[in-house]
Amino acid sequence: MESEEGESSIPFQLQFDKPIPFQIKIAEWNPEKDLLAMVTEDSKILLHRFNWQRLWTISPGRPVTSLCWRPDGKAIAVGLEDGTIALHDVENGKLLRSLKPHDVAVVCLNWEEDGQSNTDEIGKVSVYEDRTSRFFPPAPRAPKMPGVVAGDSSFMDDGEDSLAELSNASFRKFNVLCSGDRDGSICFNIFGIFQIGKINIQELSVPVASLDGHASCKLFNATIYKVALSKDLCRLVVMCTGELRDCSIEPKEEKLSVEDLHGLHCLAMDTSIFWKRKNELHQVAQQASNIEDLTEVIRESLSVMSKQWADAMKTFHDKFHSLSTLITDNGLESSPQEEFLSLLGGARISPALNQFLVNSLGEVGVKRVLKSVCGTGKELQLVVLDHLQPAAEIIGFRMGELKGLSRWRARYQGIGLDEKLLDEATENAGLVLVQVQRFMMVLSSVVQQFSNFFNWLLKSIKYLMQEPNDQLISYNSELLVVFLKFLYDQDPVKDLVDFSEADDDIEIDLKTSERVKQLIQFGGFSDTDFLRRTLAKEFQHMESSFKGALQMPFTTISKKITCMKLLPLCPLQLSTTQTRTTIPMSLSFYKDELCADTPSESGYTDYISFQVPDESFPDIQNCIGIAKGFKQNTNNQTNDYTSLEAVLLSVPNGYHCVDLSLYKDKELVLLMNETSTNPEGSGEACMMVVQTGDLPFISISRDSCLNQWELEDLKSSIVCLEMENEKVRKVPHSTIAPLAVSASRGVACVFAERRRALVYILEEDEDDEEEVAEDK
Amino acid sequence: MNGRYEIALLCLGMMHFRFGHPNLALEVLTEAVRVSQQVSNDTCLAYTLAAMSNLLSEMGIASTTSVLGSSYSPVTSTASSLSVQQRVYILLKESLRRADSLKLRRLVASNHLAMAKFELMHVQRPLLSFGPKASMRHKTCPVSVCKEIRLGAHLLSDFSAESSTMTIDGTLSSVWLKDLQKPWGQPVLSQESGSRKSSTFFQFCDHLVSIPGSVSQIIGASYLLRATSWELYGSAPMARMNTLVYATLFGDSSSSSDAELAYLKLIQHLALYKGYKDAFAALKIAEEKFLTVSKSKVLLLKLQLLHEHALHRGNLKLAQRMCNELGGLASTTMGVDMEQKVEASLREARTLLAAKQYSQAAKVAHSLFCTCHKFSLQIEKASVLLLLAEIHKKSGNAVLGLPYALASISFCQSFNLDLLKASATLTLAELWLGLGSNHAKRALDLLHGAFPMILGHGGLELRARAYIFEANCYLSNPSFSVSTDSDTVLDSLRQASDELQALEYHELAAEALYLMAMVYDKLGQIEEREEAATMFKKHITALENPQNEEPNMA
Repeated sequence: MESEEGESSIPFQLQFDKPIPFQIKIAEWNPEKDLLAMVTEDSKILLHRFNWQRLWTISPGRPVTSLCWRPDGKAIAVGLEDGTIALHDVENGKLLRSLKPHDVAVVCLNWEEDGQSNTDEIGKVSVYEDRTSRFFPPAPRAPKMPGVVAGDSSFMDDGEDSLAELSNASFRKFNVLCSGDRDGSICFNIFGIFQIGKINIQELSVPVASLDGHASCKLFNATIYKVALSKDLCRLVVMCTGELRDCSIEPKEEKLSVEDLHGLHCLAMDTSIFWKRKNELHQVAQQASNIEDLTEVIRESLSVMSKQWADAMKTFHDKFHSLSTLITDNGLESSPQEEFLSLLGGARISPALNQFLVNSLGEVGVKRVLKSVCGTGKELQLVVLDHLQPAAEIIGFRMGELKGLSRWRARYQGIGLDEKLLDEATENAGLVLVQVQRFMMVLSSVVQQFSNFFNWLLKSIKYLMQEPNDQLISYNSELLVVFLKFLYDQDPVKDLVDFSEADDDIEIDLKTSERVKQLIQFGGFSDTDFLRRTLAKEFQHMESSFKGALQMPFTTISKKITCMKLLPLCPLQLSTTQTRTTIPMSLSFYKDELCADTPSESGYTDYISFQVPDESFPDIQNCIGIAKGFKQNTNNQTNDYTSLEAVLLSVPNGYHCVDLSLYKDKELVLLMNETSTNPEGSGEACMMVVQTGDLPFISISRDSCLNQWELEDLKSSIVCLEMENEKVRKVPHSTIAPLAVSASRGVACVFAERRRALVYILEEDEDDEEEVAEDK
Repeated sequence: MNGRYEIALLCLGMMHFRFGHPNLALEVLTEAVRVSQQVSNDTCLAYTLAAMSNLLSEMGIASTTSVLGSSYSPVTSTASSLSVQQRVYILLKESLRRADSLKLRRLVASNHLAMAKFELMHVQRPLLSFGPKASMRHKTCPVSVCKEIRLGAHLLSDFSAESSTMTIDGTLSSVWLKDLQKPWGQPVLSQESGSRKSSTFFQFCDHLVSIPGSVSQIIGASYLLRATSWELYGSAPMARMNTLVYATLFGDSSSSSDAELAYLKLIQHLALYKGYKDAFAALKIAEEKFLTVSKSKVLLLKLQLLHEHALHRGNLKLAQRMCNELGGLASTTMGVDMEQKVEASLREARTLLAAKQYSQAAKVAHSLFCTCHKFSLQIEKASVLLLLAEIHKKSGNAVLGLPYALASISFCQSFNLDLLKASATLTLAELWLGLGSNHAKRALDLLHGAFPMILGHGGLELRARAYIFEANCYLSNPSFSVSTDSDTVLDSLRQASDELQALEYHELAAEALYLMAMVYDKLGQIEEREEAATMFKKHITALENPQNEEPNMA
């Protein structure tokens, strides 16, 4: 800590200045604790404490393209180059969940929580209670694949608590993770795990005021830079590049404008569906994401069982294969089963069987196979009882709850919950329950009969060797016949659990199918053929019907997200789109104190700040643009966006902007490097905080037309920033992006060119500082 | 012969119980416990304890009786100060412990199921419910019910460890031998038997399931218990699914009384969610199917359905008759058939309520509540309280009804009866609205709180009532304008009248249609108004002349 006297003259206190061995490309502060997550150039993710102690490092194996924190600060979402979003636990960096909503690199993430407290107090608890935890023990986890290296499965061990916490969202506030990719797609994930919508800004029709009323335009070749949801989840602001074209006019006629309007745009989208239906979406997301988890458990269980059983059966067949060769060698034409049967009948024992039992198999061999087959059978039974069956049961319950919700049409039809589809999915969940029980019965019988068979073999071997065999477990000869006839060369267990089994039907006898048909009159399953399917197929059936049912909310919500307004900011040369990360920009929402008159609508104003690329306008150089107020006035359609205002700031002479970030209370933090004169790069930089609230914003875009860059109008009124007038802190190094500023914690982290990290405390309040010091 | 006497006593006790002499049975079983201990036959002791707990939990003893002599110290030393429930719990625990150590797998499984049944109906840990801090959690614990049922199902994986089950019951042999006779064109042990996979499967799935009957009976019972628990907890799809698992897989292999129960559950489900037509059709099939079952519950269900149907159609005379017949079916001995007796007088009160004889209905309900309390039938208490609230609501005494509704809700909360709670909430909301239209907002909030449960898991009647009430709330809210928001009201009413058609519930249907006609009138849609009015008239005439329609079954 620095001395107290320094406080008055130097605005921001330097916490420390430490070397770091990496080049950092992304850095984000945790919103709740003083933790800084960073991504290095070689895509390692580091988590540091405020005192720069490193908590963990992970490398996802693929290039990391974006990162953000969950609003409660307990998980990190990481966007990867292949379109995957991975959630990691803040405690240990373990992978909690990964989903792949995008096809190309996820370039930006924004995770916003519903800032408002729920307004309807009555019935809040009862309406949105998830009953599952009251009626069921904790949901089962996927069984472990035997023989997997411990390090591989380690994240399943102690990640369980946080994973369970991830799925149990009933006490959490509603939140939405929003992700944008390189091709202009934006995905919305409730709680970061349940996909609820996807739009592509290239397909949006953009309302643009033109001379003859409203025209509709489209963005071509759009790439997203940044997305930000407002705190009330009503609006989404997107920074993107692309070519704006009027799609109502033939492209030939519009040739000029095509050239003109390639550049940086800002889009405001109406996501008020998230706000209006947040309780319903919360409920649906919670049930559905849990069902998705449990289907994974079932899938995993099935594949584990299939593998284990295949191994056991291989041991069995390996041992018993030699019998049939022995039989043919002995010139007999019988099958092994017939040989066994005649031994059982006491008629005769062929030399082949005798040789097989006494010499090649022997007592030890039988015991070994017995242990392998029956032991595996027991393990399979445990997998069914501990994983498969509970999972199927909870799925059935949750589906039933979803189905119940879908009946409340007034509330849930609006978000696309379809009663019919869910009915079908619930029905299929019931079929899975039946199938699981049938499989369990088959499995138990198989195990029982195998052990019966081996016990008999043991006895027979003793008998053939003329040793006493009274001590051995008795066998049931009837079961033996059944075993030899139906089981010896069949494998019903494998058939039932194997996914690959293409189109084999199970034949059901008349009596059973009659019974199933009769059950329809008692309100039974309408699909009478379901017993012909295998367990694995039934499961796939259920999964696909559930996916189909969820597709409805997905498309419904996606359709409801529309574009409200597009603001063309500045032109870009085509070449610069490749190096787009060089344009520093920041989006933020500030609570609007003037907005008390519309209680239902949001009280948030969005601020957009970015560096105007020097190439954009010849007469606007080294400037920063700030726009604010994409506020939609829903009450008065004609009066849209009147409050849209913008201002241009000119960076002080001798400096150029490295990065910028909006901070709390409408402040803007600028990181500027001295335009260095000596090429060694030992230059200096400075960090400046600008009060944007005091800036002379100029209202724009009331009647802005297509073919016009908004900022061009402002060039006559550029505001010059003076170092003397603002709070400025010199940084003794030449700095590089990114600048990581935390509004909630009041800290900033600056990275210097020579691999140093500097952390400043922006908050000048004494109390807060102490709090910060305590936190570490 | 030595060692057989206690077993004979056990059998005798069970016989006594079966034929309706619970006190005698208890006496004999107590003696069996004593003898088992004397000759240290632990197996028999475990079975006897299980039988005793089963007996105690089923028969319902009003007050502590001295029947549990002085023979078995662990039980009786505490017995004098314990309620019947606590004794059941001890007996179960004791039996479970012994069965576990003796590796009596089937007894362990059925004890787990009995434990689940106990936990379902009783507040957890009755043994700890003394002292000042014991009353912290007066709630049943559904999670442990689920756990116990799952533990019971473990029998399927370890039944073969119990040596006696290796002997297969007779059914198996006949089944697969019959199969061998069938000509399917292949020698018995043909080497080509694998050529068509499907045919081998056929053999397997139906005949190779060599699970002994006693095991599959317990497993099947676990599904029925699941279904019962979901009926109480309020998840209609789960109740149906679990019953169907039973009916599909265990339907004809295990105990016929369980199978009957499963089919009756399905019929009940049909009546609640699909209407009477389907239910009566199914009932007919069931009657033929279970002709041979002694002490058949089919008749009971039939009477219940007929009563319900008569009430809805407004045929009170028939309802009264059915009610009396129901009461007649129950045994005259006190403490036996308690459920049936409670059921009968509950229905009697409802009939009286429908006949608008409020004070009589209230009287019956009050005495019923006392009976329930005496036999500590907690779940029934909740529904009796709800009925009392209904009676006060119908008689126009909303203020008097409120405490009953609230009491019912708190009962439901502690027993996790979500569906009943939702319907009590509906009644509570109705009572609030009955206090005046300035409570419309509160009533609507209450209703919407219960809506997911009511719409998702409630039967036709409950749903229709909720819809009509919702419309009522909107309409009585002064700030609500029919002209702008007519759709919200009309949607609800339309759904309600659709559902009531299936139920033939004339009175409520008429109410829904009346409201509909009023709304259409305000909107100026004459044609629709007339349509609703005609329908309304039709229902009213049907209500006033119940005899005109022939009952489907009589």
